[in-house]
Amino acid sequence: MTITIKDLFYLYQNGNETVVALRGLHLEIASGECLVVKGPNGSGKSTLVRILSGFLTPSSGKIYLDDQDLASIDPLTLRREYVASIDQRGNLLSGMSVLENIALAIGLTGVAFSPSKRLAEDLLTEHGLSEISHRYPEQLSAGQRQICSLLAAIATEPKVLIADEPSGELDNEAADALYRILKSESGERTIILVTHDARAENIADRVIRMREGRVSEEWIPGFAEKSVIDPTRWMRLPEPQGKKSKSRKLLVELGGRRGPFLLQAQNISLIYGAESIFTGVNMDGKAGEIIALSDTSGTGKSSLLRILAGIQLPTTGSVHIDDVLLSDMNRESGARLRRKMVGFLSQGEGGFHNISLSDHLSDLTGEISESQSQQFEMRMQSPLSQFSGGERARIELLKLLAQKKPILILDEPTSQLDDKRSAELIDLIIESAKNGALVIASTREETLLDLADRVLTLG
Amino acid sequence: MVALALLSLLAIQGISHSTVNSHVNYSLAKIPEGDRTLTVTSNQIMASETDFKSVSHTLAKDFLNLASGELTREILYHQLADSHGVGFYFGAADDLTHSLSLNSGRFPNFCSPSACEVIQIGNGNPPQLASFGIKIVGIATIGDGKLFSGTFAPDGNVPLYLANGVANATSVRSLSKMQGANGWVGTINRRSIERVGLDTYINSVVIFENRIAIDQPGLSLTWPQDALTEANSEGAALRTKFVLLDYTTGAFLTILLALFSIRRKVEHLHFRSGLSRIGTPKNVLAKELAIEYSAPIFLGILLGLVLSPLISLLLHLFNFQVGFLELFGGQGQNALFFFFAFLLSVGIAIYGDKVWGKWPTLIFALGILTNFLYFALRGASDSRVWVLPLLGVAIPLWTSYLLLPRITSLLRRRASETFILIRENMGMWQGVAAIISLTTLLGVITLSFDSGISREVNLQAEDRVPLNILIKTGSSLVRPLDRGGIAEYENLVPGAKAFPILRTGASIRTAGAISDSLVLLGMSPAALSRASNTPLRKLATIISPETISSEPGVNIGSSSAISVELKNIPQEVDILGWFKTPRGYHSSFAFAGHGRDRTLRLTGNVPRNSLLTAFELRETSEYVSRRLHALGEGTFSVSLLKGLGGIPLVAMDGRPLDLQGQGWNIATFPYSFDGNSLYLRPRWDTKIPTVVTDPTTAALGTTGILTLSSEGNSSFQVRVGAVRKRFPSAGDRFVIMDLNELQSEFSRSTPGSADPIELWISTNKESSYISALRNSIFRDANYSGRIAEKEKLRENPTNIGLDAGYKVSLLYALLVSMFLLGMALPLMRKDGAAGLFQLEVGGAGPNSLRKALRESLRVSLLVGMSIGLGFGVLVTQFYLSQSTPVITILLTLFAALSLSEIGTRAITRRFFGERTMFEVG
Repeated sequence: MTITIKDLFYLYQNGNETVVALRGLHLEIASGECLVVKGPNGSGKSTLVRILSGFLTPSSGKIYLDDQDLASIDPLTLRREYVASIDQRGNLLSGMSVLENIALAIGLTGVAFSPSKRLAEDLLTEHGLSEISHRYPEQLSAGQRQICSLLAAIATEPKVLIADEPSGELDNEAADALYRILKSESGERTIILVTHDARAENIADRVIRMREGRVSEEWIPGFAEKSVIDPTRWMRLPEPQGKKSKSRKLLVELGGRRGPFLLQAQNISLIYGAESIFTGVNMDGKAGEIIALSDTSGTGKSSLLRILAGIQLPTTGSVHIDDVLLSDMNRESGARLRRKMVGFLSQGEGGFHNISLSDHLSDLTGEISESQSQQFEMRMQSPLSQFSGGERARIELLKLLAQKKPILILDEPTSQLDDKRSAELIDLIIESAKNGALVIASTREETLLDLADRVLTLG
Repeated sequence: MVALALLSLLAIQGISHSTVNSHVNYSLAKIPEGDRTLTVTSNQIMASETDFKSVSHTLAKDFLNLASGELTREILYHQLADSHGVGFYFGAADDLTHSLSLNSGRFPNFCSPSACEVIQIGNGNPPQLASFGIKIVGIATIGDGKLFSGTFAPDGNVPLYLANGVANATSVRSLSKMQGANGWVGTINRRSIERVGLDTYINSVVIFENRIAIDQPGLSLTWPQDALTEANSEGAALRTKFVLLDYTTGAFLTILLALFSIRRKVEHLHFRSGLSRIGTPKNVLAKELAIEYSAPIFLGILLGLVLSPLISLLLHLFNFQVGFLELFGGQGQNALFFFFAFLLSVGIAIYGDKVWGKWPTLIFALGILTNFLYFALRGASDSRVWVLPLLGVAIPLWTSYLLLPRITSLLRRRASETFILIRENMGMWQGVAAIISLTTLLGVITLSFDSGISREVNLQAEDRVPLNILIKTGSSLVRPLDRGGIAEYENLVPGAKAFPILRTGASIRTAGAISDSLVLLGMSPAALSRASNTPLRKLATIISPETISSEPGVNIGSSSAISVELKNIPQEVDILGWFKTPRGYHSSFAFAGHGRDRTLRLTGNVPRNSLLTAFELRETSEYVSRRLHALGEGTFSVSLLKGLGGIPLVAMDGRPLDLQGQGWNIATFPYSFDGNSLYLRPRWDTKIPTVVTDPTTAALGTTGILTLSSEGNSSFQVRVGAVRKRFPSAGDRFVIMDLNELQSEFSRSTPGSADPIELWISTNKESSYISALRNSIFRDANYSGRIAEKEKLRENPTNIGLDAGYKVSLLYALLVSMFLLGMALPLMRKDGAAGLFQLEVGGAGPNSLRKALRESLRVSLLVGMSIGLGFGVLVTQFYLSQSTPVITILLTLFAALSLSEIGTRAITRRFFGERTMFEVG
């Protein structure tokens, strides 16, 4: 199905301010094309996805699916018969098993209950997932949840599939599996992939970058980027990308001045039943050191970080923080130690949704720099749920860095950030290390990997 | 909770129904049995038997639904007299054997025009009835209260003779010219009232009354219209109070469902957005929504209906007599609650995040409409009933929503975990605070009402029996101290104190006007002290005379004879001696003897150890009669007795007394009798007694002096010593003064006109005293004890019913609150697991998290309780006009907080086991 977008505008109110999310977007996506949409946070990617899925109505402009005006299609019909979508957390309904979720999606296309269940079973078997067919979404790993969501979405044979950051929380292996299925199931289907993940380009026919509500660049994977001039003769000038790698010098500056060992892990292993996640991991970290955790096999780095932070117990081995053996501590003393020594950033959106940003940062007043707080000033009273995933990650990291704890353990700190924000945060991480903090971070971000004093690879 | 709400509404309805019925019965019971009737009276005896039977037949049909039992027919002639002028009544009723208790003789058998057998009611000397052809065959007393009562009640001092059978009695020839009336009497049918309601019953009686007036000229209906109308008004007011309780329960239900809707909103929206994302059609979404929110309500209603027979049983167990079907009397209107609750929960689920959007506004408007419709359907007419409940629910809710966020801001720095947890779950905690505030409000009202009842009962009992036991003169006219002396009363139980009390009426004389009447009480300072609370103890010293100025007189000691020599006093003048006995009573005795210049003697009756306080001179009754008859004939042939007389000598047991020297000016005095007595007494110092009075009366004495005017038209002045709003048994207008002084003041104009008529007993062994009284020579005295009075007052069905209604409502509110409190922390633990994990990762240990969770609940609880307490006090003070038992309420709240603290500690103890955090993470 060909998608034609003409002069699309979307405006919304944020408090007293009118925000223009899309500013005359022109875009044409050919039938069967796999398009990857990139762009910094706030560039309008998610707005575009929500309009295409019928969740938002554009302020002006037209969208045609083949020759049919999208405005003439009832949103529910649109989602049932034309466009399927998945997001970062998948879209499985809690309270229903994987099988029921997929069967429900098939059933909504008019297939009776029993046949739809059978079709769902076939689909799961085809992808080797029959073992988890009766599990509930909460019982699945992030990768399994995303793959099942994808299967539920494509089970209805949609003409268009939209995926918004589908691999945001996935490790390499799971992300590869997801993209593999997307590729194998694409057929004549038009696919729109909104993501920062470079791996997505492996299956893309074309990549576009959006900035400030319009397409600024486009390219074919493997070829150079081209600026886009839209039919109304507007174009976005290229913007310098991040301040990459300049901090290499830092390593030299800090070379001989590393502090004492703050963290020592010896022979730690994590085994679930018969499955060994990792074994015999030894590592230590000094004040001012940046250690990156890379993970090609896709298993255990988050768990390792949790063990290092004293949040999870290893099966064997010992972890010392500031010469204190973690296994000797109970949860209470462990928490006290973390309060004093360890800042931990987990993946995901954090635990709070309803409190305002101001309340969330209430214990840090005066400790977040003026420039940092200015970024959110207009929205200090907005609840956290109104911030995007990338914004939430940035907030948590900023909060953590402002706490100035001796050890920072960060799980994929930049995975949801665009290049610019990512570069800003890496600068802050370097700043922390410069100030004597030990930073241990799992990451796929090349800049951070380059900057790290050491890169550890599990597996 | 829906089932519980329905059961509570059913219970309140049952209590309401039973209480209103009991109230009507209670009101009916207060009407004397004889007046508790519908009586049709003819203005003359119906001589025609045909007419009589026809009327009787018609009335019997009309009475069928209005009166219970058989229609009683009776006839009563106006008072008759025999040839010696001895008065009597003649009447008849059907089937006397059923309505009279035979004392002696037999029941009358026949009655013919020439001879009629009758039975005498009560004892006494019969008149000469032979000339009327009437023969007395027995003596009986009336056993049926409605017989010859009300408008048919004859004068109690005149004997009544009854023939058996109304029709025969009209044929007695000797009475054929006499005036009288026929009566048809039926007892008010309580069952009929219970069945159709008092309002409908009264309407039916009025219709019946009007029809009689139109169709049957000469007949009129008498019924206790005022008492029934008053009972009906009180019943309506009572029903309104129960409607308010219903409303409260409904409001709780609505708020509770709204809270659950808020809580479920996130999950629900997530689920719905999931459905919407895959294009689920609108009709499927609508069905899902309807089922999700209506199912709990309908299931709750169903469960409530299944369990409803239990309510009927429980109510019977607590003596609320109500049929099973009657429980559902008001549920049609209560369905509005369930409907609104459903709308609200669905509305919140869909539009809960838009405070003033189109739909929330519509739902709010619907809420107001529900409020008005509800009260309109329940027949509430008082505008306060329409508005205050809405405010009573809205204001605590609103303030909970406004106050809690502000209070938590104070925790921002002091307890950051608590602050974050409350802020994150603000909707839930606001709901908890709102429910707690409403429960506290209801608790305050209930406790105030309960304490109000107790206080009211205490005050009323105190008014009826100011000390522990009250002995009154009663209808026997035997005064308490006529039966025995104070010491004898006090000796019945060790430690008992008896105080004679003089109670009479008086008014305040102001310039040119006499104010309303007031109660004038005379008592000893000790009695005043005991009958009052501590502050009034001081008043006892105020009314206590500085110098004992009891009534002046001559103590006659044990003298057995007193003689007076009269000079120039005609023999048509009687002379009496007035004595004040040691018991404080005044008695007079006539001196015997003849002659214009004579010596009169008093022997035998001389009351020992009494005080001779006055001589009374007056015309003999025979002379007064002659003089008045002569005046009636228009002649002055019998002249007024007047002149200058004297009592030169008074002697006791032959010993002359020097009365002149003691201030008695009796040697020579002028007299002139025109019906009044002349009193000769010693000179009397003028002194203004000090009194305790009420504020209104005190205000009339601009200089602090009041002029009291007694019933005998004598007046005297008193000084206001202290002002008090109330005094037991004295009503709202009263003057209390020293007994001796009061007696003295009365005696100035009329000796012996004011003596104690009550005896107040103070004892800490009330029941022992009552039983001793019962077994003593005072057994016939008219007495009552305060404890027994309290018990009687507590039996008032209105108080019992309302109290029970409030308690049911409060119980439901407490269950809702306990449910919420019990659920809040586990829910917060479950829903907020990710947040708690984040806090723990950040360095808050399990103990800190438990503490933060407890503090969250504590803050909501305290905010809710404070708001509820504040509004509760306002509502009870200004709306219910009841004082608030602040100490009791504070203690109750403290107990509730303590229990909650124990409960939450027990609940949170299990939170955050060693593994919990890792599972969440």
